[in-house]
Amino acid sequence: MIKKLLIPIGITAAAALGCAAAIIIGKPPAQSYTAYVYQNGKEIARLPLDGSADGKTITVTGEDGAENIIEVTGKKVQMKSASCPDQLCVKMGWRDRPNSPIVCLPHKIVIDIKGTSDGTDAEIN
Amino acid sequence: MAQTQKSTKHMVQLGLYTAIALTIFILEAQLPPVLPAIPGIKPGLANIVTLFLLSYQRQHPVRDALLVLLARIFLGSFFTGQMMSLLYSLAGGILSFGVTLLCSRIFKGEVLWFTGIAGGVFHNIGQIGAAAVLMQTSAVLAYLPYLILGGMAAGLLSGLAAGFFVKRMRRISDRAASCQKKS
Repeated sequence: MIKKLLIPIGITAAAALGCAAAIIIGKPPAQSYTAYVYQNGKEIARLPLDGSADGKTITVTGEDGAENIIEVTGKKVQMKSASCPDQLCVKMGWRDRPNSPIVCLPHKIVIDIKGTSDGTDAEIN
Repeated sequence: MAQTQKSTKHMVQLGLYTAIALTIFILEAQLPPVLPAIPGIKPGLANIVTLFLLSYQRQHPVRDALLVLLARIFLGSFFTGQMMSLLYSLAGGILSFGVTLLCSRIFKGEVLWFTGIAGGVFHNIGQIGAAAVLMQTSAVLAYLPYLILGGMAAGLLSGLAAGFFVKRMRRISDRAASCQKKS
């Protein structure tokens, strides 16, 4: 009985530890980043998150009257509003670091935060 | 005649299972997100019905479970009014079903909690894969570790629930069978 449980428990524990490690290692440091806004996989805007775009909002429109409003305050960015039923991206709240993009699934909009120097450097940190 | 009766009974049974799965799915969709900061983490309790059918049905477990799953995904998308989520649900649901099936074959319907975990994890992997393809960005893959952990927790929950349910149902049907023999 115990032998039979060994494999399932082992796999589960290993995968859980791996994920926890990935989350801890993948957490980037607090510094100035840039938010890249993508729609349908194409970059449509860049918002610097170094305080210079404080208070800026941009409106992204799409098919069938889709409308998303993106807001920057200080060094953070959020989806202020979205014309979709689930509002998941709005509930995601403020973001200021890489590796946690704001995603609007129905309108195919992604706000990805990366290093300011068009950077892959943020990935290395 | 007996054949028609049997197939009618079977059809009604599948309809009931679909109704149960759909009810769980729609109720769950009304709940606020578990972790608003990380999209896509949810209990996924409708999976209990799939797990249950795969290990409980004596005849055609795979066909029945798949039918109920597909009916639930399509009707669920209609009822919650989010056709966009249909693609994500299908990607997650089908990948999860494949892995669940594999696990239930390997473990012969035992250790349902692990089968649940595997199904939950691969449901989330399928969904995030679909999101990466549809939105043409790998940025969403950053959520993979969170979603795998979330899928584990959710899968454990529904796996355990399905395990208890199968045990109870077997006891009930055994008792019913022995009663029929006596009379």
